Amino acid sequence: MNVFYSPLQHSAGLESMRLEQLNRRYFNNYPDAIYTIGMDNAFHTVNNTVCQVLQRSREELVGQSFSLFIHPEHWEESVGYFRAASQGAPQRYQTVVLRENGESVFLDVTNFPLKVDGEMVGILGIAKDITLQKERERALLQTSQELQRQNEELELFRKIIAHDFRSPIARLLGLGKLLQKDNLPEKTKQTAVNAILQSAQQLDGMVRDLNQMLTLHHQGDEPRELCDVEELVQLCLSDLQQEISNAEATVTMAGSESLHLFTVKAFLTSIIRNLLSNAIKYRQPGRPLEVVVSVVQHDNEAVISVADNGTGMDLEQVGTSLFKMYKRFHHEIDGKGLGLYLVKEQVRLLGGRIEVESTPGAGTTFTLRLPIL
Amino acid sequence: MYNKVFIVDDDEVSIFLTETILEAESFATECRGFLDAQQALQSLLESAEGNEEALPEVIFLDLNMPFLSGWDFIEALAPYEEALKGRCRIYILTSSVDEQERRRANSSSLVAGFLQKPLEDQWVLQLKRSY
Repeated sequence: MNVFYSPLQHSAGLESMRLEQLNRRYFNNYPDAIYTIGMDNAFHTVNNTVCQVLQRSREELVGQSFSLFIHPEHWEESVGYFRAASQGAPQRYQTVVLRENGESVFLDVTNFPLKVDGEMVGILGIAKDITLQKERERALLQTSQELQRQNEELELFRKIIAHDFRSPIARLLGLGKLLQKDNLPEKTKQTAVNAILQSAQQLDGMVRDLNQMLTLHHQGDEPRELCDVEELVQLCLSDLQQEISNAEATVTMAGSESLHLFTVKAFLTSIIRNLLSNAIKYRQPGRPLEVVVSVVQHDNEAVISVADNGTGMDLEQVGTSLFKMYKRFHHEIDGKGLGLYLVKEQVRLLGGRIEVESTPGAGTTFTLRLPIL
Repeated sequence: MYNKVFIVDDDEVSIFLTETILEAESFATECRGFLDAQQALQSLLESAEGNEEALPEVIFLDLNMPFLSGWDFIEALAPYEEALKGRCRIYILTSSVDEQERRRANSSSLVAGFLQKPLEDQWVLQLKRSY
C-alpha cells in the first residue's frame, strides 16, 4: 500500500518520479473509487472513479467535506466510521452517497488510516459501487415475500375449496337426492326446487368472485387515470338502481367539492359498489334505509365514506375477521362473504386504507382514504 | 323412534334438507332446527343443569357458522360432559371435506360421529337402529 502514499510525499529523484507517474496513472484509472481525506474531513485527492460515482468534477470535490456527498440517512454512521479510521483502526462498511441529481449509489467502503512519519494525516479509502447487487438483493427479497404471500393464499384457497365451495355443492346433492324420492309433498318439492336454484346461483357467484379475486392478484400495475369520484358514485348508483328502489332506500351525496383522483377506475368503482351494496343488504328491517356518501379532500388524500343506518355490527365481536374471505356476520342474509375481502385487497393495491365504525342497531360507516396522486 | 333431535346449522336449506330426510325415515317425534347456534347452546345448557329429560337424544351440528362455530359449541358443552353422556349424542354434520376437521372430531370425546353433507339415508337408518 505504500505506493499510494506518494501524493502526499515530496520525494525527488528520477526513479521515484517514474514510479510516481505510474502510480498516479494507476490511481486515476483504477475501477474502484480511491480517495484520501484529511483530518479536516475534506477530500484531498480523488481518482476518476470518485468523480464518475458522484458525477462531479475533481474541482467540485477536492477541498470539500466528504460528508456533503453522503446520503443524510447514513451521515451519522459514516462520520463515525471515518472518525474510527482516522484514529488508527481500518474500517469496512456500506453506505449510500447522493449524486447531484438525487440518485443514490450504494458503496462498499474500506478506509485505512493514513500516517506520515508516524503522525495521522487522514485516511485512504477505496469504495466499490455495489448498487447493482443491492438492487438485486432487494428484488430477490421482494420475490421471496411475494412467493410467501402466494403460498399463504394457496392455503387459503385450499380451505375455501374444502369448506366453502363444498357447501352449495353438498346442498345441491342433497336436494337432488331428495327430489328423487317418491311421494314427496308438493310443498316440499317446491321448496327443494327453489333451493336448488338458489344454491346454484350462490355457487355461480362464488366462482365469479374467486375468479375476480385471482385476476386481482395478477394485477397491481394497472393503468391509472384521472377519475371523478362523484361520477363514479353516480355510476354505481345507477348500477344498483333496482336494489335501491326495492329497498326503498335514499342515497344522498354530501361534500360539494368535486374531487379528482389519479387511480385505477375499475378498482375504485368496485370498492364503492361493494360498500353501497353492503349498506343495502344489511339494512334494518322496518326502518327506511338512508345512505350518505361523502367525498372530501384531506391533505393529499381523498376521504370517501359510506354511512348507513342499517343493522350495524358489534365490532368487538367481529374483531379482525371483518375483511377476511367468506366470513359472514349476519344470519338469514345471503352474503357470499367475499365483498369486503375484495374491497380490502383493492384498497391495498391502490395504496389506501379503509376503516369501519359501527353500532349494533344504529348503522355502519366505512371510511376509505386514497392518495390523490 | 327418537324423542327429540336438534339440528344446529346457520344455513336454512341445510336444516330443511336434514329435517325432510329425518321425517321421511320417521327418525324422531320432534325435530328442532336452530339457525342460531347460541340459542341451541342456551337451550342445552338449561337442560343439562338439572332437567336432563329435556335434552335431545341426537344433535346434528354444523361446524362453519358465524359467531359460534361448531367447535366453540362443543367446547362450551365440555363442562357438562357427564350430564350429556349416554343421554345426548352429538354428530358433526358438515359440508367440509377437510381431513383435519374429521381428525379433530374423532379426537373429541363429546363427538359421536363425523358425517358429511348431504345426509345419506343409510346413515339415518344406521343411527335409527342404534337407538
